[in-house]
Amino acid sequence: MKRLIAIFLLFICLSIGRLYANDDTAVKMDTILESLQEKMSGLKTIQTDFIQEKNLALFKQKLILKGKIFIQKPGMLSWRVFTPLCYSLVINGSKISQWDQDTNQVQSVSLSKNPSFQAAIQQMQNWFSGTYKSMRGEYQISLISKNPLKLEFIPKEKSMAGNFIQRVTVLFQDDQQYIKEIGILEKSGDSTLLVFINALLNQEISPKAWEVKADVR
Amino acid sequence: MSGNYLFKLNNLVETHKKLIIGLLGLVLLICLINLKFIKYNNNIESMLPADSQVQQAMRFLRESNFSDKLVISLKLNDRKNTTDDLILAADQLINSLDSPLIKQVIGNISNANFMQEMIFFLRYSPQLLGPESLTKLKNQINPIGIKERLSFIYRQSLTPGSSLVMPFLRADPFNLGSEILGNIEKLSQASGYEVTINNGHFVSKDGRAAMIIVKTSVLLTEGFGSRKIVNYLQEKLKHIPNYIRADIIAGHMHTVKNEEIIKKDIWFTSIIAALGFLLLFLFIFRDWRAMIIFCMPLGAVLISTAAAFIVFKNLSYFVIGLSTVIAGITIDYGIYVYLAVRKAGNNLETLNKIIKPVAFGALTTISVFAVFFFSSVKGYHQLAFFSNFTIILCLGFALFILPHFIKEEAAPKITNEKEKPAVKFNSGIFGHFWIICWSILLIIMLGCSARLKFNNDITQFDGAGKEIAKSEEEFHHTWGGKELPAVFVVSSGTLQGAYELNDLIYEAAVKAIGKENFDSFASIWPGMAKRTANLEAWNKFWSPEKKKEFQELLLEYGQLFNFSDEAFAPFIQQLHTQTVLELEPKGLVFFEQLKEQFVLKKDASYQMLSFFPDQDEYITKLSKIKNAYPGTFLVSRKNFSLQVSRALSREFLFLAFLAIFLTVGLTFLLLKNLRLTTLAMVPVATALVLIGGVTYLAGLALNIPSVIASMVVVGIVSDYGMFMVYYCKYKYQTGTIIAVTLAAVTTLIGAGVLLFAQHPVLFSIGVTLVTGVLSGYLSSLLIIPALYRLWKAKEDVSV
Repeated sequence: MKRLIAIFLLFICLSIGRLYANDDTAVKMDTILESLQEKMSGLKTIQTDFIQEKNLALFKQKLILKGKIFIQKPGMLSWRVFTPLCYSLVINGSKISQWDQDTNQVQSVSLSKNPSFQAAIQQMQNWFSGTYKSMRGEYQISLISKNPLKLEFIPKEKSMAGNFIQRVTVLFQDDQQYIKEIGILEKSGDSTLLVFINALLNQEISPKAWEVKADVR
Repeated sequence: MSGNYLFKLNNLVETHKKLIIGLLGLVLLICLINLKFIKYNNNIESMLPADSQVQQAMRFLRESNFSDKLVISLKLNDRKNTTDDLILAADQLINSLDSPLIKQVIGNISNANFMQEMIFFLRYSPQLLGPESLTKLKNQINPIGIKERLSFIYRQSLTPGSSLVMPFLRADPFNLGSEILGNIEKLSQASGYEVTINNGHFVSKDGRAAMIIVKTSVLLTEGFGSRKIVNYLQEKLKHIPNYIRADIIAGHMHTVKNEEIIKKDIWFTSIIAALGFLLLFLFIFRDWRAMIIFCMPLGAVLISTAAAFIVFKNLSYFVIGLSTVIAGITIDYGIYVYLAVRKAGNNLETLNKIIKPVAFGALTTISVFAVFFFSSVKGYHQLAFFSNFTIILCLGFALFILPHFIKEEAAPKITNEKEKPAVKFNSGIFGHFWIICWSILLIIMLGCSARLKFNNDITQFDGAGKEIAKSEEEFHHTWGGKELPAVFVVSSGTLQGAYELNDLIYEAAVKAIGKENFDSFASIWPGMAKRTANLEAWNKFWSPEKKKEFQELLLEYGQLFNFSDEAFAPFIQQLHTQTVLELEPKGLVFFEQLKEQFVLKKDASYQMLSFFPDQDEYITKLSKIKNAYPGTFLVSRKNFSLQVSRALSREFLFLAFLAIFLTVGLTFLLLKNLRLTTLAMVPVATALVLIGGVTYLAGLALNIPSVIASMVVVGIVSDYGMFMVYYCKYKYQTGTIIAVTLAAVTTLIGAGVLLFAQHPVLFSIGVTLVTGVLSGYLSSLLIIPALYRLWKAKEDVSV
């Protein structure tokens, strides 16, 4: 499956281009994104609980995942699922480790040897760390509401994300310090809602968070 | 030539002197104007042998996709800047490139729907999967296998990137397409470069460099076009931001740089040689008429250039680069005639005395150059024509025109005293001393020559310079690809034929060197025959009972994971769809992009390429396969040098033998005595041994240009030997010693200036010529008279 992801990503472009728009909306959006980026650029660590609701054609019913996310800049991310099954993925520099309760086996992948996987992880980190301005090449970004701040990202035609994503909506916390929800609607009709709960910003993260098998609940 | 004919000819020239000079002046003027319209070429192909393997490889390299591409490498040189800055600059540059010389700019890969394309391509699995995949599938369609697989798919849904893989898992729950996708991934990296895709751009692993490929209509062998496209790109690169360093990596850069260096060398060496000749004539001859001797080779070179252009339609820079050497050789005839007339007076008797050695001297040189007509290398035909045309013209000027300009005036005679020191220097005890020294030197140098190595790498003649070498080194450091793969080429009249043959080669190659070492398009898209067989096996495997059993198992165990009834609908649907075999899948961008790299469309044929590591072990093994399948051949950049070298070595062995045979034969014809002929060959033997020894001691290796130069040396120094033996035998007071000395000096000026050349070919020729001519001259002056006296004395004693 790693190969599958790799080959798929090898041909996919994550076009980040220039900002062409000159109208007022674009200028406003620029201001909003700059402000967001500025606020979120001050974040060095993020640790948050999450609930992910997946509406997938694969399943009869909604799949609900509960877990925790740890982010430490630069380059560290820990994705931990506690229910329905324990699963963890840790990115530490150029190394990715995965573990799950079922097999109880740790799988490690080198990011440098999987540049395409690296690109996918980069995308994920972009969403979580708020560097939205650089995503304007790939997405048409529009403002859904100002208070609370809600943005809609529609992939541009023939962009990488356009391969499978129809729309992404991002809802921010009232103080706009961090994200509250990310909703993804895929072209296949599958959808995902990721809700962040109890986000702790710029607080020291336990070293255990970077151990793929450790219990950090 | 009998005295009667010589007399008539002499009279004719004398009578129509003004008309002849007028006509000659007109011809020279036309040739001078013609210089502007001459096309020069720096095409290495003209210097390669007609060996079928070499020509095939060269044709392939010329016509393949590699020869019409220039790569621009953009590298961030400031740590503050990011990959995004780099990509922005790359996009700006891509958008600015617009020229009729550019066919296509590839800076990013098409943003087509590759995910859908991959899923679509997996529909071809039934015709692409071999028997081993069906065995694997058979082992998985049971309760344990199905449960394990569904559990894996369930776990994948927990990962953050599950959206990417879900469509694939639904379409291919058993991961049967893994091998197909793995092969596509492998093929996409077969270029030998380490490229990653970042935001659709070709970016280096560290994200600090971006690559843009420019496809041009200019072939790298076209000097003029190469300069135009390189200049155009360099102009555009001036506008990129300061924090980015840009390098152009292409064969075109070598063409341009080589041409620049050769042109510079030709001008530089010509000016030095001209100054050297001028000073020599003004200070030694102190006679304005001596300028005519200098002008003769110049005029002859001018006419020969025009003649060679008419015959060959273009002129090789290498041949023109040797024009100073040819001038240095041909000036000798004028010197011999001039000195003879000044010493012995201008009359038919003087001309009769010198015409034989001068004409035979010219003939030996002509014969050496003439053997190049027997070479399969087209560039050498040009060299032979150009040199011999110049020699014949100069000989004619020297014998029939020059005397008429010295005759009328009482030119100051050069006294005989000048010969005396040399005569004394090689007589009596000195003569023995020189023979002993010469013998010791020959033994030492022979020992050194035996250790001499032959350098067969043709890249040593690339004079592109350090700047380009540095850029390429940096490029390879960033992008890899220093060791580019070798290519196995399959040719067929039809595309289907090429696919079928490619299958056979792939199968044999995988057995011989392993699948991991052979990147073939057959690994993702076999020929029709193989796909038909695969499809039949697939249909046979998926009997109605098997399909039923499989679906029931999926439903039963899918419930454990809460999978829907439609979870694997795409796969089930495919099982019930009838597959129609096509020659190629249509409308798949990724397939077309890969195909461009592996399939070449020729005028009336197709070539399919496979890549493998350019190592001797693999070349040997795959050569056996190549020999078994007509219509296939190997192209190895490493092996190419070896092939060229082997072909040239075979040829030069024959040519060198022929040159020596002709030289010895003509010398014998002149002297009509075996012992004297052996004596005349002393400078030839000395020069060849010294060339070998000095080349070794200088830390250099023998190479093709130095072999050619050695052959030229044979032609030059055999003249010295001939003249000296002639002088020793007949004792004609025609200024032989000073003439030989001046001839050697002028040749050394012509050859010596090549030591200042930057281009490795011209430099290599310079080293060989200077060593050979100097040693040949000294041995003819010091050793021949000494040996002659020694042999004469023995003869007298025996008598």
